[in-house]
Amino acid sequence: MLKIWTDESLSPLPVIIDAEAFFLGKRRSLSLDDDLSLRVMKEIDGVSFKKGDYIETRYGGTDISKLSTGCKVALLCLNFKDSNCISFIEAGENVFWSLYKISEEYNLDFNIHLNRVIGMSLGEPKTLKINNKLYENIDLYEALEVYFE
Amino acid sequence: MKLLINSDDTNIDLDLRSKVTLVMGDSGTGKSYLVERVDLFLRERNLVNSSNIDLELVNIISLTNKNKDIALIINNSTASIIFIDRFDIVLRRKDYKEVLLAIEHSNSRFVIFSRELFANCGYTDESVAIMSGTEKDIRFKYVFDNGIKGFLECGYSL
Repeated sequence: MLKIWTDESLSPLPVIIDAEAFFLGKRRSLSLDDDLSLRVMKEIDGVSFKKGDYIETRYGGTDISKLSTGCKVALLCLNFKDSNCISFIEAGENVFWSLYKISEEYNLDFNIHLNRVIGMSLGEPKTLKINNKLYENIDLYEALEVYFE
Repeated sequence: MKLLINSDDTNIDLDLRSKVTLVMGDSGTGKSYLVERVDLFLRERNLVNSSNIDLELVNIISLTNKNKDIALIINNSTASIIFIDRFDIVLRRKDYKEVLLAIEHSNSRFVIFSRELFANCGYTDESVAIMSGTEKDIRFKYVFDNGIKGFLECGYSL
Protein backbone atom coordinates (compact mmCIF):
# COMPACT_ATOMS: atom_id res chain seq x y z
CA MET A 1 0.00 0.00 0.00
CA LEU A 2 1.10 3.51 -0.71
CA LYS A 3 1.50 5.44 2.54
CA ILE A 4 1.53 9.17 2.02
CA TRP A 5 2.91 11.56 4.60
CA THR A 6 2.08 15.21 4.05
CA ASP A 7 4.63 16.45 6.54
CA GLU A 8 8.16 15.16 6.99
CA SER A 9 7.76 15.18 10.75
CA LEU A 10 4.84 12.74 10.61
CA SER A 11 6.69 9.94 8.88
CA PRO A 12 7.79 7.10 11.16
CA LEU A 13 10.71 6.47 8.81
CA PRO A 14 13.60 8.84 8.07
CA VAL A 15 12.72 11.04 5.10
CA ILE A 16 15.05 11.41 2.13
CA ILE A 17 14.52 14.85 0.62
CA ASP A 18 17.41 15.17 -1.82
CA ALA A 19 16.84 12.02 -3.85
CA GLU A 20 19.46 12.97 -6.39
CA ALA A 21 22.27 13.20 -3.85
CA PHE A 22 21.11 10.11 -1.97
CA PHE A 23 20.87 8.07 -5.17
CA LEU A 24 24.34 9.05 -6.29
CA GLY A 25 25.76 8.34 -2.85
CA LYS A 26 24.19 4.87 -2.69
CA ARG A 27 24.50 4.11 -6.37
CA ARG A 28 26.89 1.17 -6.03
CA SER A 29 24.72 -0.63 -3.50
CA LEU A 30 21.38 -0.16 -5.24
CA SER A 31 19.50 -2.97 -6.92
CA LEU A 32 18.77 -1.62 -10.39
CA ASP A 33 18.54 -4.71 -12.59
CA ASP A 34 15.45 -6.37 -11.12
CA ASP A 35 12.16 -6.38 -13.01
CA LEU A 36 10.54 -3.58 -11.02
CA SER A 37 13.53 -1.27 -11.32
CA LEU A 38 13.65 -1.84 -15.06
CA ARG A 39 9.91 -1.26 -15.22
CA VAL A 40 10.01 2.16 -13.55
CA MET A 41 13.01 3.18 -15.65
CA LYS A 42 11.07 2.27 -18.77
CA GLU A 43 7.80 3.89 -17.66
CA ILE A 44 9.29 7.13 -16.39
CA ASP A 45 12.39 7.76 -18.49
CA GLY A 46 11.72 5.53 -21.46
CA VAL A 47 14.77 3.36 -20.78
CA SER A 48 14.82 0.78 -23.54
CA PHE A 49 18.20 -0.80 -22.81
CA LYS A 50 20.41 -1.14 -19.75
CA LYS A 51 23.75 -2.81 -19.33
CA GLY A 52 25.69 -1.97 -16.20
CA ASP A 53 25.66 1.79 -15.83
CA TYR A 54 24.91 2.36 -19.49
CA ILE A 55 21.30 3.10 -20.40
CA GLU A 56 19.45 4.17 -23.50
CA THR A 57 16.63 6.61 -22.88
CA ARG A 58 14.40 8.65 -25.14
CA TYR A 59 17.27 11.15 -25.14
CA GLY A 60 19.85 8.64 -26.35
CA GLY A 61 22.63 6.66 -24.70
CA THR A 62 23.85 7.90 -21.35
CA ASP A 63 24.95 6.96 -17.85
CA ILE A 64 22.55 5.81 -15.14
CA SER A 65 23.41 8.91 -13.11
CA LYS A 66 21.57 10.90 -15.80
CA LEU A 67 18.21 9.32 -15.03
CA SER A 68 15.59 11.92 -14.20
CA THR A 69 15.32 12.86 -10.55
CA GLY A 70 11.78 11.46 -10.51
CA CYS A 71 13.01 8.11 -11.77
CA LYS A 72 15.65 8.12 -9.05
CA VAL A 73 12.90 8.79 -6.51
CA ALA A 74 11.02 5.71 -7.73
CA LEU A 75 14.16 3.56 -7.61
CA LEU A 76 14.88 4.72 -4.07
CA CYS A 77 11.32 3.80 -3.08
CA LEU A 78 11.91 0.29 -4.40
CA ASN A 79 15.30 -0.05 -2.74
CA PHE A 80 14.49 1.50 0.63
CA LYS A 81 10.84 0.66 1.10
CA ASP A 82 11.44 -0.86 4.53
CA SER A 83 13.79 1.75 5.90
CA ASN A 84 13.00 5.15 4.45
CA CYS A 85 10.28 7.52 3.38
CA ILE A 86 11.17 9.12 0.04
CA SER A 87 10.14 12.68 -0.69
CA PHE A 88 8.28 13.42 -3.90
CA ILE A 89 9.13 17.11 -3.96
CA GLU A 90 11.11 16.53 -7.16
CA ALA A 91 8.98 13.76 -8.63
CA GLY A 92 6.18 14.23 -11.12
CA GLU A 93 2.72 12.75 -11.06
CA ASN A 94 3.80 10.01 -13.46
CA VAL A 95 6.21 8.76 -10.78
CA PHE A 96 3.43 8.74 -8.20
CA TRP A 97 1.13 6.64 -10.36
CA SER A 98 3.87 4.30 -11.52
CA LEU A 99 4.71 3.54 -7.92
CA TYR A 100 1.06 3.34 -6.89
CA LYS A 101 0.37 0.69 -9.52
CA ILE A 102 3.36 -1.36 -8.38
CA SER A 103 2.22 -1.16 -4.77
CA GLU A 104 -1.19 -2.52 -5.80
CA GLU A 105 0.03 -5.21 -8.17
CA TYR A 106 2.72 -6.58 -5.86
CA ASN A 107 1.17 -5.72 -2.52
CA LEU A 108 4.20 -3.68 -1.53
CA ASP A 109 4.32 -0.88 1.04
CA PHE A 110 5.97 2.39 0.11
CA ASN A 111 6.24 5.42 2.36
CA ILE A 112 6.35 8.68 0.45
CA HIS A 113 6.39 12.32 1.45
CA LEU A 114 4.13 14.59 -0.59
CA ASN A 115 4.11 18.38 -0.45
CA ARG A 116 1.36 19.05 -2.97
CA VAL A 117 -1.81 17.65 -4.44
CA ILE A 118 -1.69 14.95 -7.10
CA GLY A 119 -4.17 14.87 -9.96
CA MET A 120 -5.98 11.79 -11.22
CA SER A 121 -5.34 12.11 -14.93
CA LEU A 122 -2.97 9.14 -14.81
CA GLY A 123 -4.78 6.85 -12.38
CA GLU A 124 -7.39 6.29 -9.70
CA PRO A 125 -6.48 5.05 -6.25
CA LYS A 126 -8.40 2.18 -4.70
CA THR A 127 -6.77 2.19 -1.31
CA LEU A 128 -3.99 4.19 0.23
CA LYS A 129 -3.09 5.85 3.48
CA ILE A 130 -2.63 9.54 4.09
CA ASN A 131 -0.96 10.31 7.40
CA ASN A 132 -1.87 6.82 8.59
CA LYS A 133 -5.56 7.23 7.78
CA LEU A 134 -6.99 4.68 5.37
CA TYR A 135 -8.77 6.00 2.27
CA GLU A 136 -10.69 3.86 -0.19
CA ASN A 137 -11.96 4.79 -3.65
CA ILE A 138 -11.37 8.48 -3.08
CA ASP A 139 -10.90 11.53 -5.20
CA LEU A 140 -7.21 11.84 -4.44
CA TYR A 141 -7.01 15.49 -5.43
CA GLU A 142 -9.77 16.43 -3.00
CA ALA A 143 -8.38 14.23 -0.24
CA LEU A 144 -4.95 15.81 -0.49
CA GLU A 145 -6.25 19.33 -0.94
CA VAL A 146 -7.42 19.27 2.67
CA TYR A 147 -3.82 18.92 3.81
CA PHE A 148 -2.42 21.62 1.57
CA GLU A 149 -5.02 24.37 1.88
CA MET B 1 11.97 37.19 -25.94
CA LYS B 2 13.08 34.15 -27.84
CA LEU B 3 16.26 32.26 -27.09
CA LEU B 4 17.57 30.08 -29.86
CA ILE B 5 20.59 27.88 -29.35
CA ASN B 6 21.59 25.73 -32.28
CA SER B 7 24.17 23.02 -32.58
CA ASP B 8 24.86 20.05 -34.80
CA ASP B 9 22.61 17.72 -32.86
CA THR B 10 20.16 19.87 -30.88
CA ASN B 11 18.11 22.99 -31.39
CA ILE B 12 16.81 24.83 -28.37
CA ASP B 13 14.02 27.28 -29.15
CA LEU B 14 12.67 28.88 -25.99
CA ASP B 15 9.93 31.46 -25.95
CA LEU B 16 10.54 33.42 -22.73
CA ARG B 17 7.35 35.41 -22.30
CA SER B 18 7.91 37.00 -18.95
CA LYS B 19 10.61 37.69 -16.42
CA VAL B 20 10.30 34.24 -14.91
CA THR B 21 9.37 31.15 -16.87
CA LEU B 22 8.42 28.41 -14.45
CA VAL B 23 8.91 24.96 -15.96
CA MET B 24 6.95 22.11 -14.40
CA GLY B 25 5.71 18.75 -15.65
CA ASP B 26 6.17 15.01 -15.32
CA SER B 27 9.47 13.36 -14.54
CA GLY B 28 11.55 12.25 -17.49
CA THR B 29 10.25 14.91 -19.85
CA GLY B 30 13.63 16.55 -20.33
CA LYS B 31 13.85 19.44 -17.87
CA SER B 32 17.29 18.57 -16.57
CA TYR B 33 18.27 17.44 -20.06
CA LEU B 34 17.60 20.97 -21.27
CA VAL B 35 19.79 22.41 -18.50
CA GLU B 36 22.55 19.96 -19.40
CA ARG B 37 22.35 21.00 -23.03
CA VAL B 38 22.54 24.66 -22.05
CA ASP B 39 25.54 23.85 -19.85
CA LEU B 40 27.18 22.06 -22.75
CA PHE B 41 26.61 24.99 -25.05
CA LEU B 42 27.99 27.38 -22.50
CA ARG B 43 31.08 25.26 -22.05
CA GLU B 44 31.64 24.99 -25.75
CA ARG B 45 30.82 28.63 -26.40
CA ASN B 46 28.58 27.43 -29.13
CA LEU B 47 25.89 30.05 -28.98
CA VAL B 48 25.16 30.96 -32.54
CA ASN B 49 21.79 32.57 -32.90
CA SER B 50 19.20 34.56 -31.11
CA SER B 51 16.30 36.73 -32.07
CA ASN B 52 15.05 39.75 -30.15
CA ILE B 53 18.07 39.75 -27.92
CA ASP B 54 21.63 40.81 -28.47
CA LEU B 55 23.85 38.00 -27.30
CA GLU B 56 26.73 40.39 -26.84
CA LEU B 57 24.68 42.05 -24.15
CA VAL B 58 23.02 38.98 -22.71
CA ASN B 59 24.84 36.62 -20.44
CA ILE B 60 23.49 33.12 -19.93
CA ILE B 61 24.00 31.51 -16.55
CA SER B 62 23.14 27.98 -15.49
CA LEU B 63 22.67 27.22 -11.81
CA THR B 64 21.44 24.28 -9.75
CA ASN B 65 20.81 23.64 -6.09
CA LYS B 66 24.53 22.79 -5.84
CA ASN B 67 25.53 26.43 -6.26
CA LYS B 68 26.08 27.87 -2.81
CA ASP B 69 25.80 31.56 -3.72
CA ILE B 70 22.78 31.69 -5.96
CA ALA B 71 21.56 35.01 -4.55
CA LEU B 72 25.00 36.56 -4.91
CA ILE B 73 25.35 35.35 -8.49
CA ILE B 74 21.93 36.75 -9.37
CA ASN B 75 22.69 40.06 -7.67
CA ASN B 76 25.95 40.34 -9.59
CA SER B 77 24.34 39.58 -12.93
CA THR B 78 22.53 42.08 -15.08
CA ALA B 79 20.46 41.56 -18.20
CA SER B 80 21.18 37.86 -18.14
CA ILE B 81 19.15 34.75 -18.81
CA ILE B 82 19.51 32.59 -15.74
CA PHE B 83 18.53 28.91 -15.69
CA ILE B 84 17.99 27.41 -12.22
CA ASP B 85 17.47 23.65 -12.08
CA ARG B 86 16.14 21.73 -9.06
CA PHE B 87 14.61 24.83 -7.51
CA ASP B 88 12.49 22.67 -5.17
CA ILE B 89 15.67 21.91 -3.27
CA VAL B 90 16.74 25.57 -3.34
CA LEU B 91 13.42 26.42 -1.67
CA ARG B 92 14.47 24.23 1.26
CA ARG B 93 17.76 25.97 1.83
CA LYS B 94 18.28 28.47 4.60
CA ASP B 95 18.98 31.20 2.05
CA TYR B 96 15.82 30.70 0.00
CA LYS B 97 14.43 34.11 0.94
CA GLU B 98 17.61 35.80 -0.27
CA VAL B 99 17.30 33.89 -3.52
CA LEU B 100 13.67 34.94 -3.98
CA LEU B 101 14.54 38.55 -3.17
CA ALA B 102 17.41 38.49 -5.64
CA ILE B 103 15.07 37.19 -8.34
CA GLU B 104 12.46 39.82 -7.51
CA HIS B 105 14.93 42.69 -7.77
CA SER B 106 16.91 41.38 -10.71
CA ASN B 107 16.61 42.74 -14.22
CA SER B 108 17.52 39.37 -15.66
CA ARG B 109 15.19 36.76 -17.05
CA PHE B 110 14.83 33.39 -15.36
CA VAL B 111 13.98 29.88 -16.43
CA ILE B 112 13.21 28.04 -13.22
CA PHE B 113 12.57 24.32 -12.94
CA SER B 114 10.35 23.63 -9.98
CA ARG B 115 7.24 21.78 -8.90
CA GLU B 116 6.58 24.26 -6.15
CA LEU B 117 5.21 27.73 -6.49
CA PHE B 118 6.78 30.81 -5.01
CA ALA B 119 5.38 34.28 -4.79
CA ASN B 120 6.35 37.78 -5.89
CA CYS B 121 9.05 36.82 -8.32
CA GLY B 122 7.60 37.87 -11.62
CA TYR B 123 5.81 34.90 -13.05
CA THR B 124 2.16 34.59 -13.84
CA ASP B 125 -0.27 31.90 -14.96
CA GLU B 126 0.79 32.71 -18.48
CA SER B 127 4.44 31.91 -17.82
CA VAL B 128 4.07 28.36 -16.49
CA ALA B 129 5.43 25.95 -19.07
CA ILE B 130 6.04 22.28 -19.60
CA MET B 131 8.61 20.68 -21.84
CA SER B 132 7.69 20.05 -25.43
CA GLY B 133 9.40 18.99 -28.64
CA THR B 134 12.00 16.23 -28.84
CA GLU B 135 15.56 15.65 -27.72
CA LYS B 136 16.67 17.20 -31.02
CA ASP B 137 14.30 20.13 -30.87
CA ILE B 138 13.63 21.43 -27.36
CA ARG B 139 10.74 23.81 -26.79
CA PHE B 140 8.31 24.95 -24.14
CA LYS B 141 4.56 24.56 -24.21
CA TYR B 142 2.66 27.03 -22.08
CA VAL B 143 -0.07 25.44 -19.99
CA PHE B 144 -2.17 28.61 -20.12
CA ASP B 145 -2.39 28.23 -23.89
CA ASN B 146 -3.77 24.75 -23.36
CA GLY B 147 -6.55 25.80 -21.01
CA ILE B 148 -4.94 24.82 -17.72
CA LYS B 149 -5.29 27.69 -15.28
CA GLY B 150 -5.12 28.35 -11.59
CA PHE B 151 -1.52 27.40 -10.89
CA LEU B 152 -0.84 30.38 -8.69
CA GLU B 153 -2.76 29.55 -5.57
CA CYS B 154 -0.10 28.80 -3.03
CA GLY B 155 3.60 28.63 -2.53
CA TYR B 156 6.64 30.08 -0.89
CA SER B 157 6.76 33.81 -0.35
CA LEU B 158 9.24 36.35 0.85
